[in-house]
Amino acid sequence: MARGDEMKGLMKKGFVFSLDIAIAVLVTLLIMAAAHRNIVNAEKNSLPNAQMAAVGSDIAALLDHKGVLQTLDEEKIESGMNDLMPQNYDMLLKVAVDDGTVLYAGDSVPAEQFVSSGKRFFTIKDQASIEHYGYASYWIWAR
Amino acid sequence: MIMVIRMKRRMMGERKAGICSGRKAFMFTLGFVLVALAILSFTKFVFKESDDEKTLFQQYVVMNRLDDIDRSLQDSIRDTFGAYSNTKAYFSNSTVVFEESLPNDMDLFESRMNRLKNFAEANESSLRININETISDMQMTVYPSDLIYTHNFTNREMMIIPKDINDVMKYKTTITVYENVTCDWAFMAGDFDYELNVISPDNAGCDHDRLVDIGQNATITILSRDEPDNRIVIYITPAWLRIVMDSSSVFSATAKNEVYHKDYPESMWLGNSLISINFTSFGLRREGGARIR
Repeated sequence: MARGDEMKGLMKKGFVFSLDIAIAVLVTLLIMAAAHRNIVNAEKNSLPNAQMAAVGSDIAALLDHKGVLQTLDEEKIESGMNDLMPQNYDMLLKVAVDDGTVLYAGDSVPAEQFVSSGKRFFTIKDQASIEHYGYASYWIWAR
Repeated sequence: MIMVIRMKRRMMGERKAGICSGRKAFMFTLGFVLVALAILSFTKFVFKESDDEKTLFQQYVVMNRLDDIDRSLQDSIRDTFGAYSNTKAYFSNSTVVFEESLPNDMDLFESRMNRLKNFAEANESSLRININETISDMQMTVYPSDLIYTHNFTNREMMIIPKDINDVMKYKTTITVYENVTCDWAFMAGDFDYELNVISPDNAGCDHDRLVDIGQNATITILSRDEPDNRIVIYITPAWLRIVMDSSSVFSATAKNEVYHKDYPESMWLGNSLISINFTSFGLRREGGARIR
């Protein structure tokens, strides 16, 4: 009879110990998951995206300085953009001029992804005079 | 009797074992709490770092955008200035050169700057272009010496204002006019080098390279022989070199001013608050002129 009570007591202790361990593991896993999520989020926002923003800015500036934007030719602008763009990025470029001309080059902007954007103004010159003022807006994202 | 003693010993042993396992459980729980706290602190640290990094990253991206808009707009203003201001401003080694028509007509420049302003402001809400100061005095500042080249268009005046006259080794003015002129130099001899060169069909007493006492306000008058109303006066003081065309003058001229500098100039800016970009929600703001050289 005494031995039966002893066994029951031991089994109860074992159950509480196992439950304690299970709760501890669960809480630890939750905390680790939260920590991991934060680390992943931190990495997501940092260097590669900053690099992407710089690439977008450089491409728009180069297209301006090489006179490609000033052609107002969609095909030339798209081809110039593709020549300059690293393979792991996609980009959309909107070019608008003060006479109302608006044109687009590139892919459409994805909905659920980090997209960096920027804008630069430019002039369209004809020898010594300025024919138009324009701007180019760009959106760039990782493929 | 023996049985009672055994029972008591057994009970004591069980109590001891109970106390021992209670201590173990306490130590286990305490250890677990400490480890959990350590992980929690680490998580909080990572979370804070991640938050700081997010803010920094946002600021970097917005600054990049601000820089793109600012620099490209400065380029557009420089193009407009070059095409329509009837003014050339450039460096040649350590010499700063300003060339322009006298009197200068700013109407076309003003209309083009207005066109740029309206277009840019309509397409970028964070942007303001203030062309008033540029149209009224078209002030340019040369860095690092802070030499100013400015105008009073109503009075048909142009002025060079050095921050420190000791930075200037010499002024040279070249005036081109299309009629016969005479020049009158009124000055005291001194140690400041001033050279005047007049290009015209015929000029008398104009071209000289002289050492003048600028503390005594040197004045040189260029007068048309055929139209006495046509007059240009050059004033030199330690504070400025000023060239004024009389309001009644009807002739056209060009003036080229060269400032021989002690130091090499690095940049030249048009205006002081020409471009203003304000990304209020990110606390980023930029206000200043447009770099033209």
